[in-house]
Parts: sequence; C-alpha cells; structure tokens
Amino acid sequence: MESNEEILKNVKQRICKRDNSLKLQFKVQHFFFGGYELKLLPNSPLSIQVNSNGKTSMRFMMEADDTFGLRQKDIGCSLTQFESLLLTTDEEQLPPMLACYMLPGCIEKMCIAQPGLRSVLKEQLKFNNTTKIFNVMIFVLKPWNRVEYYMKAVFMDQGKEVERPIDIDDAEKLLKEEVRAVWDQMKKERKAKAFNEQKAVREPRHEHHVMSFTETVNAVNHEQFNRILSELKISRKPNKQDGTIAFVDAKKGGVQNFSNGGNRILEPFTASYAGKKDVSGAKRPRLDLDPRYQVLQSQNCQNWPNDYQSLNNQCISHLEGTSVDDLTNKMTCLGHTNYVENHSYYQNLNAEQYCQVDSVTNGFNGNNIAQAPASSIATVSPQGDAAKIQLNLALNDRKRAGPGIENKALSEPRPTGDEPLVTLPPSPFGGETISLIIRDIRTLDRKEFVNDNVMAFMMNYISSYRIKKELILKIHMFNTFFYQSLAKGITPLGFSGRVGKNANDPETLKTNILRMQRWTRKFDLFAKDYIVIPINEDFHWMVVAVINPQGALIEDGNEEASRNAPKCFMVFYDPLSGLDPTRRMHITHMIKEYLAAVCGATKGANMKYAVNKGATFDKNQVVVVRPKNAPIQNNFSDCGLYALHFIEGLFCNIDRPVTVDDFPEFDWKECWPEADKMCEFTRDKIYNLIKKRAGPRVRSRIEQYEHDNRCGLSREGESRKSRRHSAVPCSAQYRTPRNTNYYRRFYSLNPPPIKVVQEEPFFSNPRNVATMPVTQKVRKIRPPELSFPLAY
Amino acid sequence: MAAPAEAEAEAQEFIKIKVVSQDSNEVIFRVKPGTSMAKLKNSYASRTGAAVGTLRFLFDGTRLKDEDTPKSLEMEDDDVIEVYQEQLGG
Repeated sequence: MESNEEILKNVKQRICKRDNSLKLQFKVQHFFFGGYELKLLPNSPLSIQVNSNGKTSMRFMMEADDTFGLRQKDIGCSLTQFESLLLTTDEEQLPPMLACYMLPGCIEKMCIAQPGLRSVLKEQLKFNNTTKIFNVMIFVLKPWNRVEYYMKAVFMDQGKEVERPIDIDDAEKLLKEEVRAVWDQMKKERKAKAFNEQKAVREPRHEHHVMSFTETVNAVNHEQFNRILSELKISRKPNKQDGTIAFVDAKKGGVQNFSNGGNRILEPFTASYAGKKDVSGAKRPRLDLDPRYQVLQSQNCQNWPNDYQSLNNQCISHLEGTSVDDLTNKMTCLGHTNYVENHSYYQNLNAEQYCQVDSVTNGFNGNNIAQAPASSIATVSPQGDAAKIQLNLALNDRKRAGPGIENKALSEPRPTGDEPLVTLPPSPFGGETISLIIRDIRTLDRKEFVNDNVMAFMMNYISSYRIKKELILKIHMFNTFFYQSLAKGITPLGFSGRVGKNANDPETLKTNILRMQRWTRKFDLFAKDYIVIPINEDFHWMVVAVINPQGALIEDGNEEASRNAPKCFMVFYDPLSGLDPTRRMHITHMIKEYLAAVCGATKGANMKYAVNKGATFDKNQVVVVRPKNAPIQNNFSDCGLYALHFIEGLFCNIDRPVTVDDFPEFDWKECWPEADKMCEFTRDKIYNLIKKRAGPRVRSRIEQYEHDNRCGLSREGESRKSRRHSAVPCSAQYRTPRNTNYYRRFYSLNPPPIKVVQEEPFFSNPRNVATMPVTQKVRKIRPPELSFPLAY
Repeated sequence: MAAPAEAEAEAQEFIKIKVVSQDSNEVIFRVKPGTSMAKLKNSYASRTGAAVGTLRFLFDGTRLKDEDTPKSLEMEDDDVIEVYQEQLGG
C-alpha cells in the first residue's frame, strides 16, 4: 500500500497533466441550490474531473423531484463557469462543505440542462423581493467508508481503475493549490481565445477563495440550512458578536439565545405564520414561515448582505445617531464613483432624513418639516403648503444637481488639471520627488505623446520598486533634462558629420558642460557601472545607456592593463529603429565629450576622486552599439513607453541584468522575446499603475475629470459605442441625407466607408519599414531629401 | 551708524537667485532663506504668463519640490535655477 504522501504526489501529478481518467469524488449528504435543498441520486458522487475536451468540470446526478419538475439528470459544468470554490473544514461542529459560487452564465446553462431549476429560482424570487438570484451551490459532505476520508481519487493505473482515499486537509490543499492552478490556466486560455476572437469574457468579480464561510452561508437560505444542521444534531453556536442569528423554538415556547440589539419587535409567529401561509402557495412550505425556526434579526446586523430589509436598516442606522453636520461632511467628501451607491442611500432614507439632508445641503431652513412625523415621501404632511413647496423645490434641486453631490462645487472644486495628485518619493539612489497632475496623466491617453513627468515617474518607480538594492547603487539615472541642457544652443545634428558644421558648436558644448559640472558634484560618476540618460529631442524619446564607464578610463602608469580591460559600451536605443546613424553619432559624440570633461575634472591626477596616479578618458575605448532586435514602435506616438521598456529591460531581466560581457553580440530578443507585444501594453500598464498608486480618493477625482472631459484610457471607445447603437435623433428623421459622406456619423448605423477615415496617410508604420526586406524598402521609400526621413 | 547696519542685516537676510529660462532670459528674485519654492515658482509663472504645471525648475540638476527652501537646498547668492518647458515625445 502506498503511503499518504505518495498518493498525494501521484494525484498532484495527474492533476497537473490533466489526466483524463482522474476523478476527485465526494460523497454528498445534502445539496442546497438557491434557497432549497434538492436531492442528488443516492450513492452518486460529486466528482471533479477532466472531461473529454480536456476541461476540468464538476459533475453530479440530480434526482427527479415533482415539486419543481426536476428530471433525473447528470449535470456537469466547467470550472471556468465558477467564480470560486470553497471547501470549509475549520468551522466548528459542522461537517465539511463545498460551496461553489457560480457566474451568471453557469446558472443559465444549468437551467437549460435542468429546466426545473428555473422554477426553483423563481420561487426564491417570489419570497425575497430582490432581483438577486442566489448563485451558490452548497454540498454538505459525508465521509466515505472510513471516517476521515471525505475525498476519493479515482484514476486508471496500468489499465486498472484504482481508488485512493484522501484526507480532508489534503483535499483542501489539493483544491487550493493544484486544482486552482489548472483552473487559473483554463481561465487564461479562455480569455486568450476570446481575445483572439474579439469577444468579451465575463470576469469573476472576486478573488478565488477569499470569501469567508459566514458570507457563503448567508448567501443561501439560512433557515433551511439551520434546520438541516439541527437534524444532523449539530447545533451551531450563535455568534454573539454578530448579533445576527437567534433561534426561536415554538415547541418550547420561548425565545432562546436572543442576542440581537433589541431594536426590532418580536412578532408572535403564529400570527405571521397564519397570515402568510396562504400567500405562499408553494407545494413545499417555505421554511422561514415554519414556526419552529423563525429567525430574528437585529437591526445592526452587518452580515446579511442578501436581506434587503436589513440592508435598509443598516443604511438608516448608519445615518442615525450622527449629527447632521457629520452627515453632510460625509456626503461632500464622497467621490464621483461612489455616486451610484450614494443614490441608493437616498432611496433608502425616509422622508424625515430626506428633509434633514436637503435642509442642510441646500441651506434652507427646514425645521418645521423635519419635525413633522412622516412615514414616506408621498404622505409628507407639513404644517403649510409653503413648506411643502419648499420641500419639493429642495428635492428638485437635488435632482438637477446631477451626478455630483449637492453643492459639491462649494466645498471641493471640480478637478481642473493643475493640482498635484500622485506623488512618488525619490528612490534610495537619490532621484527626485515626482508629483503628477491630471494633465500629466492625460498624456497617457491613446495617441498622445508622453510627458517628461510620466517618464520621470516611471523611472523613479522602476528604480524604487523593480531593481534590486545591490544593483541600484551601481546605476545612475540622469533626468530627462540632462540632454536638453547639454545640447543647449547647439545646431541640431551638428556633430553627426552629415550636416554642415557650425564653427561655434564645440565652444558652446564646452560652456554647457562647464555649467553642468554641478550636476555630478556630490558623487563619483565613474564609480557607477551603468549610466542611463533619457533623451528628448525633436519630440522624440530615446535612451543612451553607458555600460561600464570605467572601461574608457586609462590609468596613468599601467596603460596596457587598462586598455585590455573590458571596454565601455554606449548603447543607443531609438524606438524608431535607429538604423540611420545620424542622430546616434551626434548624441553619442556629445555624451562622450561630457564624460571626458567629467573625467578630467574628477579623475585626473590629484583630483577629487582620483585613483592611484589619476586617469584619462579615451574616446576610442568607447564602443557605440545599437541593441540588436530591440522593439521598434509601430505608430508615431508610443516612443516614450518603448524607452521605458528599454530602461526596465536592461536591469529587470529574470536572472541577471545586462552586463559588459554580453556585448558586442547582444541580442534584445534573447532577454525579452516578447518585447514588441509588451511595449504595446505598456501604456495601459502605466496608466493602471498610476491609478492604483493614487488611492481611492484621488482615483475618484481622476475618474471625475475623465468623466467631465470624456477622456481617459478606461473610458476608451465609449462615445463610439453609444453613437453606433443609439437611435437616429428626431431631427434626422425628417431629412434624407443625400451623400452620407458629408454628414456626421450618427446618420448612418454602418461604419464609415474606408476612404473617409485614413489614419496616417503619408507614413507607413516604422516597425514595418524597419523589418521590410531590402528590395521592397528601396522601392517603397522615397529618398530622404524628398520627404520625411523615414528610417532612423 | 545704526541705519547702515540694519540695511546690511536685511541684505544678509535675502538671497539673490537667478531664474534662467532656456532662451537665456534671466529673472532675478530676492528670496528669504525660509520661503518655499512654490512661491517662487508661482511668481515666475505669473510673470512669464505660463502655467506652473508646464514649467520645470531645476537646481543643480534636480527638480525643485514645492516644500524646498533656499536654506534646505543650501543656496547661495547668485545661484542659478534653470527653467525648462514641459517635454513631450512620441
């Protein structure tokens, strides 16, 4: 016989391989769906298995049941249809249970397979008056023959079917780790498939396995659940902290364990039972009408999300007991995104609270109304008509104010785009504090040019969070103004050798370098292993990374040795392919000059950071490289993001950063095979990252701004959608457009003819140009002097 | 005797700071060591008519924070703050 661990290992392997024959089986004692207990076929197991399509699914046999018109049926559903699975073992005195949260699609599928389930759900709706359909199945488990073994693994081993018992703890582990991994993989595959087919995928709303058991139980019919449990002779301890559950036993004729806050009046159950008995009309009596198991709730209950009444109570009790000032304070600081929830707050208020809210926020004196006892808005009976009108006015005002909370403009102005929102402190190596304003975040919109603030923010982020501490001390990142300062007053491309030279340029460069000496006065630039220089020129972002700057130093005394040491490599990365050397030559020349000057000022004999006898900078030791196969942008707006990818890619490779030893045969594809694809998503990634860092309040402000101005990545495509699916406006019904091309889009429900929208009519995509075969290139590209220089 | 001494003390209190833009226009500010840079930024921006959000102020190659003061930056007389425009790139 195998030991426990061997069995587990075997099963785990089979799960990973998606073994077709493997079934994880449970024996089910009770099965709850919606609010009802349904019957499974006796002795039929609940099994999790891989079906013939290679997808993990859950299967069980339902028994025929006349009350709901259920047929005997084998039901199977793919795990991708579940939001989460939860195996509870640690609840006191309860048998283990398997709770499955289903996505709406799963319920629909099950209803198609078993039409009777639809009536179960309808019954549920009839009693609860909520639109929420309960989406949980709960299986109460029973041990297999031996006491502790709740799970059984059945699989084919060398042609024989083998059964192996599995411990409950191990079963939980299996579900949590192995099955979940496979499950996640399936979800990913499904998403990828849908992405390829350009379909939408229903995303789970919660993380898996995050819900607590109390939440799970609250989602099903609590009373029935308790009844079953009491039949099992397992009593659940009332949780006094929650103050939610208390049983009333009619036979004993008293209230037991009554632990609620005492706010709600206890009705005699006989009355309620008699009153509601006829109304129900169901063949199977509702259990909450059963006098024995009536459940009382306290007003302050927090854990009954499905009970609408208690939700109402909760809202009101939330408002009660606080002063009106507090109330208004709370309301003014609520963001735009909270509006929908707030709105339901309003709906749940009774008239009295309405008056309070309005009288405060609209600044009119509503004392007389507030004092008048009123049960609902319709029956408000204030002392005079004037007051009534005032109340109506107040309500109207509130409606007109629209999405913002009333008079919000007075306390908190709408975002204008100039206030600092997200701030990132400098990283340990000593960068700068960057605070982004809304205008900066706007530059992340599609087809916008990226701002220097965003670049600096991300460089800061990369160096603070993505690069290891040991490495970061060896890197110096200049800020984006370094190059601009260096190139101040110099003829564009003056040092490239391709354009006419201006005689003044070398001197200007010298004065610039002299001016910039203070930039590096506090540290030794040549002690670093990497120098990163982001470059902005002609509305284009590029990066120069100097790797191993010491390699260019030649020590006085032992020149031979320092010449044979690894050289200094200057990597010039241009997202527009960088094939044309003009710009590269210009930029690298200036940076070489700068480094030479810094070396002369700090590393020379008897200078500040001199080693031994001092060193000189030899420009011939510097090798200028273009990174092979680095990603090339495929539009004319994303270069900043590609530059950021390059900076990150240099240092954040999985095993090690790029070092001198990789050069000169350095291939970016080897480090980042998917670089092109990664870069295309960088914009969204950065946008999400910034929003995530911003915190809820600022995020709601950003969203409000985006709402007002109809922009932002998260709102992308909204206007188009609404236009295409909206009805033709009334004014257009009477006119017949003669030539649709001259009219605005909404006259036609069809997409526009191709000729009308021509994106980038003159240029082809830089990535295509760079990767085009040479013959084609010659034919396609006009000589650079006639048009835009396409490929550099 | 008393008046020039006071004037001297006052002169010592203030620091002269040059704010130089990229087209080499200079604006000279007399600043107390305790004034925050936000004030300086705002007054420069209002003088040049540009929005503060589009200007970047650098001292010794690092950006100025709003909370910085000449004292915390160890500024001396005739120190230069460089002003850059917002950079965009695609």
